[in-house]
Amino acid sequence: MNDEWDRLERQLERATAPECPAPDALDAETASLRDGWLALGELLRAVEPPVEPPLKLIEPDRPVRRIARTAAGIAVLAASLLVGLTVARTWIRADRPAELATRRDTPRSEIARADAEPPHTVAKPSATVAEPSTSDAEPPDAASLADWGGWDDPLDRQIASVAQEVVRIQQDWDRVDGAFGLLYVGMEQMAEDLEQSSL
Amino acid sequence: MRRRSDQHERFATWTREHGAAVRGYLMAMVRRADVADDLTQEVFCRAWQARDRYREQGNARAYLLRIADRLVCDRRRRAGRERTLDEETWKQIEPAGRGAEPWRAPTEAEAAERLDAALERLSPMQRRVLLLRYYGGLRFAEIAQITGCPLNTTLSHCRRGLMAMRKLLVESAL
Repeated sequence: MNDEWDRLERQLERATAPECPAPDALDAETASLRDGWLALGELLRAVEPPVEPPLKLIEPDRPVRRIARTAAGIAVLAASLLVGLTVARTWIRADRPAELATRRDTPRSEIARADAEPPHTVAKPSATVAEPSTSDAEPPDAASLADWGGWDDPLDRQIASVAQEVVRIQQDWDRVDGAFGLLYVGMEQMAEDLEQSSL
Repeated sequence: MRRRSDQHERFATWTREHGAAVRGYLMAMVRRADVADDLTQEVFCRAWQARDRYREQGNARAYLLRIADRLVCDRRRRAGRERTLDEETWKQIEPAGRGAEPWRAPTEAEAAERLDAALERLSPMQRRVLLLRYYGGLRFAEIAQITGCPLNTTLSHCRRGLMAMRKLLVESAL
């Protein structure tokens, strides 16, 4: 039985082959089936549009591609900017409090002197301070004592204003960061859409 | 990015090489140009949507025709629920076809009528088998897989369909 089906399959393959077999190579039954196949083919070809294939791929034209590339470029630029700003912010955060803490631990008068005098003169007051209190030198006057142990209001105000400024910059940055994030996501989406629309 | 570019390239090749065959098959099955165009578009849309799942096996046309065949079957199943225009009404409202010069239109209309008459002689399964063979050049085993019939049944449908065409040819010659 399998032989029967194999024979039929071969017969039908010959009868419906795209290329035309030699007429004498076909037995009568296969030739008859071939006639039916050719008749069907003729009818189908008669109604087919003779010109170009009905489908063509719609490629996005050049300007659209250019826009897509520009958008991708802007997105990359924005991303780089974001990374740069984030690194800078991280660096400032890591560096600034350490510096402030150092300054807070240092006696205020030293900070004031360090700020006011050039480095080579800094050693002088230290040497004076290092002298034994039992020396015959005149005791320091009240103003200098107040300067040593008292609260330095201008410096405090300066630190407070810097801290406020840092907080404000951080808030501003967070806003900008969010906006850039949205912009970046939007551009990525747009690039994706443009790429998919090439169909 | 490279993968996406490959997919685009593959899809462009499919459209170029198999678009006409898919559209021809659909047109022969549904006998309405507008429906055939819609279904052709749908075939390629589905192929594109499933592009990540597609495994290259060397016969893209069989793959596309399988989608086309399924769409035709779905459409036929839905046809009972849709209100369709009869042939005459449709011809009255259908806009003129592409390049339908006055001297050419009757010939095309006659050819379409002859084809309709010939396809009417075939059962739906015979039609599917013969048209898949004609447009896809598929092996009978592939056709059997697409139609979901055993190979022997597919061969029988093909044989009977060809005999019906042969009979029509003899009748029209008389």
